[in-house]
Amino acid sequence: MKSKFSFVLTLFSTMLLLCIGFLLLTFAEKESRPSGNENRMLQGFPELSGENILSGNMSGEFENFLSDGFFARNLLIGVSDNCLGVFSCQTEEDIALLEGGNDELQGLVDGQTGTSDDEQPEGGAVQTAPDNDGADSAPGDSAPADDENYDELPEDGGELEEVDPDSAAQSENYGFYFRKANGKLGMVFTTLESNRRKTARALNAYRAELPEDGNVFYMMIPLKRNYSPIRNDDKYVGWYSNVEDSLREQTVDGVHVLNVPEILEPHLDEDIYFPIDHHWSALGAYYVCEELMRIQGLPMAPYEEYNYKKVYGHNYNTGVKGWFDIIYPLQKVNTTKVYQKVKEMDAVFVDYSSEFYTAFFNGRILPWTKIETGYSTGRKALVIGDSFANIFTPYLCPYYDEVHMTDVRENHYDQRECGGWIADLIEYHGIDDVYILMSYANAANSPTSYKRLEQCLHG
Amino acid sequence: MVFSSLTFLLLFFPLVLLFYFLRSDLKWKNGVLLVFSLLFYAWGEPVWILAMIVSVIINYACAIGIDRSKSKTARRLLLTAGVIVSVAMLFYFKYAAFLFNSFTGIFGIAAELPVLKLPIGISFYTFQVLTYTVDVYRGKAPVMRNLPRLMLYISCFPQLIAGPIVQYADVCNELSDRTSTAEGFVNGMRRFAVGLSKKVLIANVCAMALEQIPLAGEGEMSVLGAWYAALLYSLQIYFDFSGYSDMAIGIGEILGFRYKENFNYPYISRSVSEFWRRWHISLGSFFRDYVYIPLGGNRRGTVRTIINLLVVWSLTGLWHGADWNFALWGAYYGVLIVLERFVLNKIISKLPGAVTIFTTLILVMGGWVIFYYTDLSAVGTHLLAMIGLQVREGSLAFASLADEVTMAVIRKYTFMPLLAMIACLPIVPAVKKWLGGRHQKLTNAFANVFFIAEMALSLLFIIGQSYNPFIYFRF
Repeated sequence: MKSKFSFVLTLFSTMLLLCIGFLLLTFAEKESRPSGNENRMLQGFPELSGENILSGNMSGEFENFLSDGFFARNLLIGVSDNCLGVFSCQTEEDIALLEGGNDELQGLVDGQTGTSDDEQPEGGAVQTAPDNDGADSAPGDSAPADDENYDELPEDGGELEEVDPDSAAQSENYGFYFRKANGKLGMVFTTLESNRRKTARALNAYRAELPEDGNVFYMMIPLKRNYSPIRNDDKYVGWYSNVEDSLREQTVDGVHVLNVPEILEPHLDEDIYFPIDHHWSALGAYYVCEELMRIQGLPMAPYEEYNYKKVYGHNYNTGVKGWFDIIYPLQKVNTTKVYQKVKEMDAVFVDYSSEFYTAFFNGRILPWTKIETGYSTGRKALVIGDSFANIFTPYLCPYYDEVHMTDVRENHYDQRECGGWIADLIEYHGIDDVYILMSYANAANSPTSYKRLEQCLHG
Repeated sequence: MVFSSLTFLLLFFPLVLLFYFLRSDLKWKNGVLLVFSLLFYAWGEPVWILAMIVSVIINYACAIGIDRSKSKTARRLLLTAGVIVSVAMLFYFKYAAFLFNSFTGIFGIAAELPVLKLPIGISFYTFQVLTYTVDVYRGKAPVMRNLPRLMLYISCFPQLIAGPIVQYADVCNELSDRTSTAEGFVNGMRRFAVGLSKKVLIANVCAMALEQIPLAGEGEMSVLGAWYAALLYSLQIYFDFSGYSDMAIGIGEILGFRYKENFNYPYISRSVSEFWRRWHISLGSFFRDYVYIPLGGNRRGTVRTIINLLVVWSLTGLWHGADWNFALWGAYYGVLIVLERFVLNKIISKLPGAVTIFTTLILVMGGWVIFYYTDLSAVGTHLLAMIGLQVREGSLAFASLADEVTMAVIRKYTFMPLLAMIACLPIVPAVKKWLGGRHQKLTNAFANVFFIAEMALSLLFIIGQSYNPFIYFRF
């Protein structure tokens, strides 16, 4: 016998494990619930049905239940991450490189190669920029918050393929361009006809789910990296996009495709992008919303009348600092996270203490966010978007009783978490208008637009 | 259920121990163990437990028939029946679709069999059932008339789903007579903790690093990326599988079973043959005792020995999976072992140890590349990148020496792969030998601290990091 103490210690450890197990069974949260930190639903106690047991699902769900319900889970995750990082020589550039590989990057890769599910590129330098919304999480998150980490398009725009405006108007060249001082266009990216066709088909499918007077508004928003060269390099004097023309030709009445570059072009010398990361600013979003309301014949309060807070923020990856506006809705709203269709829990609309774009919804709008605006208009809206939707939504509040939000990007929309496909939820919540707004990382050549939008509607 | 799950660590395992040691009579202990073992298996796949039970019952009946029969023909027929039933089940679940689809693919026939979901552990328990029937036939072990006890031998949870493959002759006595001691409990728990930490702290971290490197088919591979990925996978699979074996052996020791070692520092081998004497020892023993020797082993001349070796290694490859890469992997080792045995043996014995260990490591890493990809073109791409080449627009070109992503991964996971490489060396046996039984109290105290630290850190990582599947489960 090695020693009595060793035996007692080992026995005690084993029994301690059992005690933890029973305490978890007794006290862990039994209900499934969303986690803001992890951006997913945490597992509740599994369903004890014959079907669930025989399929083997219960064992996995039970394991997740123990793991998700573990005491001080977030703390333990942090500690284990720190343990892994103790002997790491990782640099900030490494973080940007490795953690940037989320689904927006998938959009980038698809865009660069210009491939779609069933078609090869039609020619032209097809290139889109990543969004990297993964960066929008809490401080300490190691994901890059700045599209400038990706340098396919340098600050000065680099040497872009030059085309005549006439040439750009041809179908195979529908894309996004910089206007050059010499009257030519510098091609930033073109889009594939098949991707445009599928995106238009998805938009039409959304329209079909709405009431007769319902509308679908689709907006593709340039990233800051599509804007910086114009601010920084004299050879560029503006931007130009004609992808929208193609979509308009293929969509039905009630689908409105806004040309965001066209709307923002007169304001390119204003601060329409965040100084510290890749998102658009409250001002940029305001201009687009103003146009939306003009289309619908609705008035909009001047920009100055909204509530803003000037925040001196910084990008925790790049260290870039600067002032920016956080916009609050005109009147107090009630925000909840909705999951499994009918379950709700309180959520934060604007985090007053935040110094980041994550001020809105803690950077996440998952699985489904409902904002009760306090207005009585008899209409409800659904905003489907990536993180660019967050700063835009406050402007919609005065026009709807409820504004719902969700995100269809890969690994973001989960039918089980949401309690149905989007068509079910449009019907359940009585949605009248749908706003779909994506940054270029998730629009244009991204499968988020040409595939996920439609997939998430009906499954 | 896997050993490194919270369900096992916090509920199943402590409850097994609690009930197991509640009474001291063996009937109770075997009963508890059988019930919990069946629960352990059924937890993930309740339906497939029937396949295992059917296999055991048929072999139980065959073995009793073999024992009772005096006719040699009848005994042989019963043995054949038992073997065919067991192998047919394995074939049906694991190989039928692969062979059928390969056949139709080669001849351009428009027909396809769906790939069935493999019952967990079928490759392991089929072999164990076979060892029982064959051992009884050979008179190497007594027949087991107690069906629940035979069921316990097959289904005993520590070795049920990922080995080690326990031969019936090795444990038949322990099924009816074994003792559990306090020392066995302490040693077993310590061994379990070592295995758990190998799996959770090392194998899983290597897997996380590997996941981030651009592999063949995911972009252009650099020479550094190809080598680093091969190294990481070599470390991951070793710590994953040897960790599982450590846990199984540790639990066995607590329960009074003495399972044989399954790994013996394979990455210090001086030849491929030696590597396979140190890697997955129970599988090597099985193929030696139940396939190679019955085929005639090396007793029937050089040509027959070569054929036997190639057959055994092809089967070893296919045992790991129904895919062409596994067949290639087996054939690769078959050819290497034949070469070593008949051509290179004398040269290897004259070379310095460092050279032979290094060469063996390179060959083994190459083997793991074949093992990793089920797509053979990806195997080719990766192996070419390891020698600095790539196929670009249909012709060979030089691959880049390094890429940013691999460099970033190396910087991110600086410590664990280094620690893993050190842990591949037989440092603990060397220290034990050096101590020679001195400083018992100190080493015991150190072992206690190490045990607590391993358990706590493993638990922390299981909760904090999500990557947790056992590689060997799929076999």
